[in-house]
Amino acid sequence: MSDGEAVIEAEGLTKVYPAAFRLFGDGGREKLAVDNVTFNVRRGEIFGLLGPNGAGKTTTVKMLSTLLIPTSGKATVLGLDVVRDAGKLRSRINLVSGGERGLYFRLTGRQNLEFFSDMYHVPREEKRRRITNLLEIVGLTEAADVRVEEYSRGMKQRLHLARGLVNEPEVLFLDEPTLGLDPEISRETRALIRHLSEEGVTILLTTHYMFEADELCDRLAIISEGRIKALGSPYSMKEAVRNDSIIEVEARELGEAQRRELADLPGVSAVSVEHLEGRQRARIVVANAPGLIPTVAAMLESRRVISIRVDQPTLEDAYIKLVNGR
Amino acid sequence: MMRNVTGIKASALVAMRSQFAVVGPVLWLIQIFSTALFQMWFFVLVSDFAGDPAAGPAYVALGNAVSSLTYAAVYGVTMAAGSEKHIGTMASILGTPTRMYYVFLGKGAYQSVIGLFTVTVSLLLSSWLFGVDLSGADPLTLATVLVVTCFAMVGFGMVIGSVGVYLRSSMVLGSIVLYLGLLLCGVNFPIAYLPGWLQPASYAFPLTYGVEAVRRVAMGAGLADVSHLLIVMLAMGAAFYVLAYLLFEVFERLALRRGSLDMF
Repeated sequence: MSDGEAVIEAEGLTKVYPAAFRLFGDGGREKLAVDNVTFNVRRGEIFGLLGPNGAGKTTTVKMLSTLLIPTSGKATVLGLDVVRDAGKLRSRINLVSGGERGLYFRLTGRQNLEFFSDMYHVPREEKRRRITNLLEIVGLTEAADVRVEEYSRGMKQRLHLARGLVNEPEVLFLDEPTLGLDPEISRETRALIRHLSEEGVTILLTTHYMFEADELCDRLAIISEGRIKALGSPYSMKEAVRNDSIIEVEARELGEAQRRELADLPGVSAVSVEHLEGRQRARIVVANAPGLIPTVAAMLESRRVISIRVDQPTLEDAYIKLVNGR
Repeated sequence: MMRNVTGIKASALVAMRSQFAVVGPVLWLIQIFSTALFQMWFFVLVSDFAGDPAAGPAYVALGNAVSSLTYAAVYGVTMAAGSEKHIGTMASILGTPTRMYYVFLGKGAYQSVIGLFTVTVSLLLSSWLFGVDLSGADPLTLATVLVVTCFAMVGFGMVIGSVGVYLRSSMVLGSIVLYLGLLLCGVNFPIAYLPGWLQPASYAFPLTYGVEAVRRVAMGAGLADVSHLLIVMLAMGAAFYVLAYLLFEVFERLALRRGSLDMF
């Protein structure tokens, strides 16, 4: 998969959102969303853009899918410039965004697909066959003639996916395709993404779910504050923490102050704190976990510690280290 | 070319399906009849109260009957831009090879049908209830005038609607234009009643020519007698469609630069 030609090439891609014009009041300041991003995606690859909210993932995808004009830099998809050749490119790509919006909710699922097929100029005889097939693939055959306003969130997301396939795109952009879906639907969606990849569709997906990136992506870029922090296979990302170990602490009173204190300890390269129900879980990426445990235990003595243990590093730990680490 | 026609047809179909998914045909007819009736009735009573013979009840009723086109042809098209943004379909459409202009042309085509039906109902009601005498009107000439007026007004609506691709304020503009039409276009009183400095503004609105042409046809004028008004409306309409095409291109570009496609 990794030897194919590059079908997406981004070079120094930058987006600065201009300050909004307001007749009255302050329109705010301009915002740097994507800062000099360079990467490529090879034919048939599933490439992930992984990063926290506001990292610049969606902005990058919008620029590559012709829905946003870059401030500077250059990007080509299938050899076509995303700005200059946008008209030609649009028939060969598609973008699926997560969420409830982007569909005609008063129309049925089938009617939505008919409309977007027409927008992509799918020939009439081909349209019917393709829509029937897509409805079956996403499991909406029985709900095809039900209005979208009666669909569950998962059904809407599957219809979004079907909409994204009406033009049989060579490159498919998926922006948070499993956001807010229940685990079973998420699993089905990931299976569908894998199926599309096997069919030869090049996929660029954004996600902030680590396991999703790990499970699906051939390669991924970790993006934070508009910049690419790391780029490679999930395996090579994990290599970044191969020589590290993890101290996992569960406590009832862990906050930002403790996270900062832990991060300042010698040998600690990153700390993440996850807020669970009634407790918090900190994962400390450190070169020598057993040696640091007494220090950590002493430091958190008054924070109602539930447990302290040593764990193996995961992709999530690599991500935390690459995004927040030293 | 055929691809653009497909886009126009698909967009018109979506507009129709969306509308009738909310209201059934009976409720829709009640809406058409009642809004036409109540608007005419209101202004007829105002004119009756004012007692000016130059703008009597029949004059006012006829003007309001023709101006009912504005709801569909201008306001309806303008609203469509806001609606596409609100439900988030505008970005999905812009990501396709079909230009937004043709999508709105489809919405305009659908609104034209609605507008022509509305104005026909309004004219019948004005004749039946408010003393508008249409007995001297040639039906074919009247139909031609209404179709040309509708053509020009939808073009006007497309110009206003194009703003909606970029800004969230197209619906505000639509409302302003709706009420400006009542003020400036000779609907409720002759244009000569307006302050002198305001009168030239009346002639920027296609409705002004449409109302005048229908008044003349109602008094027995033939196609040749109103041809100059029709030519003005056709020319204005053509200019509006060209301008709208250019504005859609400009506003699409601005929206893609600013990232305002998803803002609603």
